[in-house]
Amino acid sequence: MRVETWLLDLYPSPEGMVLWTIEAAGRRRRLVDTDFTPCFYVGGPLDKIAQLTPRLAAEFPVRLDWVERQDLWSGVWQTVLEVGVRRPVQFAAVARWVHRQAPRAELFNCDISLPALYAYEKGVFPLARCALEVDEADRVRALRVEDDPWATQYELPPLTVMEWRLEGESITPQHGHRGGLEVCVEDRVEVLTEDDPRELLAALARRLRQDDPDILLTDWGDSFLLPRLLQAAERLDCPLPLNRDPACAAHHKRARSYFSYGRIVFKDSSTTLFGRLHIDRKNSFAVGETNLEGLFELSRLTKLPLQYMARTSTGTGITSMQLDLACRQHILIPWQKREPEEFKTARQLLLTDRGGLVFKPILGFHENVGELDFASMFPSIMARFNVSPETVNCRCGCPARVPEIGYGICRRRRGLVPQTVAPIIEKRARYKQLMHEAREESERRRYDDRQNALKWLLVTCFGYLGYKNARFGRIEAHEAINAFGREKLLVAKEVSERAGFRLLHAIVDSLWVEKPGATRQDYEELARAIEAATDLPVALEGVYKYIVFLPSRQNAAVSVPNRYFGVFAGSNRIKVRGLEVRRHDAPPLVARMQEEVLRLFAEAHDANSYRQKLAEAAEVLARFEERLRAGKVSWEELIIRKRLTQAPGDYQKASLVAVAAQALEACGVQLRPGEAIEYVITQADAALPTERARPFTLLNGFSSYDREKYLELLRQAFEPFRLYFAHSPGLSS
Amino acid sequence: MSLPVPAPAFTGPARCLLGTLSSRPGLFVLSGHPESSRLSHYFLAAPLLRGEVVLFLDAANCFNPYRLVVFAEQCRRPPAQFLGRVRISRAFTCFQLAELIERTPAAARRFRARRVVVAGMPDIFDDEELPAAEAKAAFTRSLDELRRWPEQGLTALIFSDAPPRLSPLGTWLRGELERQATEAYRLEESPAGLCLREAKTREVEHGTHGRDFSPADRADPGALRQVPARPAPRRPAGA
Repeated sequence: MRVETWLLDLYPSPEGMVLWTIEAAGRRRRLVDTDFTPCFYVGGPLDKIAQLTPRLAAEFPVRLDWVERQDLWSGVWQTVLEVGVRRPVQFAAVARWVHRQAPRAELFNCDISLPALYAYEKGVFPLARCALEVDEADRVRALRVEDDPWATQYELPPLTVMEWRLEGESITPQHGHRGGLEVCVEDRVEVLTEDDPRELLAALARRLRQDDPDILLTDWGDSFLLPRLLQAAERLDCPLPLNRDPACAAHHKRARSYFSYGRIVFKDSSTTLFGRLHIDRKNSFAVGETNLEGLFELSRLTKLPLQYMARTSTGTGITSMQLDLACRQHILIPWQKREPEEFKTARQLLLTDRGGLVFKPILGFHENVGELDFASMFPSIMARFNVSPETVNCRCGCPARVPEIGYGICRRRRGLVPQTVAPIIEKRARYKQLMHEAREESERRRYDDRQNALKWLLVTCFGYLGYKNARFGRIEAHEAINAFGREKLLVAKEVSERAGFRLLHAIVDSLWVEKPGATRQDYEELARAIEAATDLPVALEGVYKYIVFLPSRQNAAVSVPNRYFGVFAGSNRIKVRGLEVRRHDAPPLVARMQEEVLRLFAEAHDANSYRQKLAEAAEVLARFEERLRAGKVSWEELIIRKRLTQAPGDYQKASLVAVAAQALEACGVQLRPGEAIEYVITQADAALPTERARPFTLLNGFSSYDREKYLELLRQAFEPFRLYFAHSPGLSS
Repeated sequence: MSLPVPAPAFTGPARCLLGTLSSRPGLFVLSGHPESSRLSHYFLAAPLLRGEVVLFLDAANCFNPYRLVVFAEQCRRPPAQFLGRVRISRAFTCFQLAELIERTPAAARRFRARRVVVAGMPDIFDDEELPAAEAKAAFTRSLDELRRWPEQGLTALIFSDAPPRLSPLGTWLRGELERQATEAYRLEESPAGLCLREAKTREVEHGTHGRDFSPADRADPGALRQVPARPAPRRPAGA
């Protein structure tokens, strides 16, 4: 029977690859594809490997074959043993067995997840439209993909989304704040407040059966809601049909903390389902930044299952695209990242191991300033100059092409990374175009989410080249991109200065320039001139009516990059960097004060009108101060959110964050390094450390906030606005 | 962090000790300090002053060329001279370090180097994202390679940072490394400064086991010279 369908989810099972599909008529089906034999490769001395084959064939149901595959680093085709594993669930076990038996043999393609391998082999991807031939036992006989991951206009399946969240603030319920459970499908919201857990479970089960959602979208579902509900369901013997696949139980993965680049990172636990997708908005970078639309786009392009993509980084996403490409081009994917850096002298290291170029800003208030940005500078460099781990200092000895550091770049082979990023850059440009042409807001938002998702893929592909766990990372490629970037920014500066502009500030891929009387057209012409000189796309971000470059917080005479605020001409759009309004750890009260003040300043158009607005801005500050003094500020406005850098008990000093974390721990809350906590300053200078701060969830009617400390924070946050106009009328010192 | 090592560290008794350590083939392990890897820079000075080339395998991402510039200035040598004599390669995974260790004898021949500093060993093998069995297998292969270095005339100074908490794997790795070392030292901070404590020597019968090289020894560089010269490790039978 032929079925026209969309692919919702895929995972391996002892029967084969399970595919969950959605038909246009709404039918959801569990199908099994038994025609999938994932392969890995064994390289090394062929006679030694040949000795292994009879034992391997005796031990496991495998298909063995000698094949030619391409080495990633040299590009040379070599003979390797292809091991096709007939029972996909044994894939990892067979690879481990080979590694144990022949520890010196090189294994390739052996640690790629089965859903990804299936998707690469069949060319299928989540949410793809497919035509399937299915037998009466729901086994897939043939699969044809009738969709293109690079399409910008595609039809998504009719997905049913059910939302679960706790009433009230969006603070982790793990730390103690609880409300009723809101269940929402489309516009229907029901709050389940049953005191009896049996009734709550029965109500949820009823809703799940009734609405049968494809996606369960939760807040804190991974770490709190689903684990607690499943525990209760088991304890009380009340079935909760979270999974559609009755053969599987929900999969729970524990939380963990780990060090990455000197910073402790907390990765929350996850609870994933089978046949139905669970996506936790509070545990998904992709959904947090780009909404479901962005997640769908990422999943389609990377071929990673939606639940996995929702919880992983965009770096893993871009790696999956590179793996897909490598598989299609028969390039061997090394199992362990072994290729070390070439030896270089310390002198060469000084030259090569540098980041992007920064010209510190000329501090103060500047009018009629243009900001020019290299569009996706690093990915464009990769694509334009063929920078990839295997092409930098290639083994064929291509001549030096990287400025300053003299690395060679292959002229014979197009690298995996450039091949991956080039179409993403192009697709993002198409989405941006569609976004500008969109007539309806919903359409515009959809394209914006998608282009934003692609932006994150592009952003991480540069960092990943220098990331230790990146499959296709190599430090020399990272250094080469930085070297190209520095040279291009220098060229941009020279072109600007030749055209009579003054450089005010430049940072890696953006520059701020000014010229008295310059028009928007002048700035656009300058962008074209830089583009021609650098061979990289440059866009005019905008012309500011004025921009204020601010100094370091510690020393008003020292300029620092990326601390400024400015207002664009025409749109009155405000752009801010480095102020509290952009910081996650600033109390909302302080951020709101800055927002209000900035809205006032958006109306100013030069130094004089700015000065006039300062008195009004001071009134805004006074109003916030007054509310604070009068005790009229809600707790939510005073929350400070910080990440723990260590376990609560390991803090040596009674800092505010340590005090709050230890108070939570004393109440039985398990906290791990890297986790965020929310607290309010109660008395910053109290002799008794426990009185200095209190976790938000432990505040009660007897708690009070430290007025003086919050007043100080407000005044500090106002300081940047008056810095260069301290003696203006209406301003007290 | 500021270390109470006199600046330049290598002009005092430390230089004598470092000179002693790095003047004969063997595997010397220095550990116990949270920043042992960074302290490795001080151990570069003696061979650099002698005009030797040093290979630096950096698995701790700690190498700081500016430190060498300071050393050179303190010795009134052109910084380029010192910078040009250190050949560095960074490893970000234990497999890269393992590969680097395999390639080192060839690199040493190519660059005419006899001294090798390895920073961040075995720390990089204690990676929680890696199954312990894989880490152990890679480490064991590296240790096999390292054991062959002295036979090829190489001196290895291996620096390991003391972690805040030692995992079971970390304990095993450190134990194995010290077991294979010619000598092992602890870098320890005392109220008076940084000292080196012998953790393991081959000649325990000479009575130097557990000896402290404290700041008091610095006043008398001769005290450090009392460390008896160690013979090169014997080749295993049949080698």
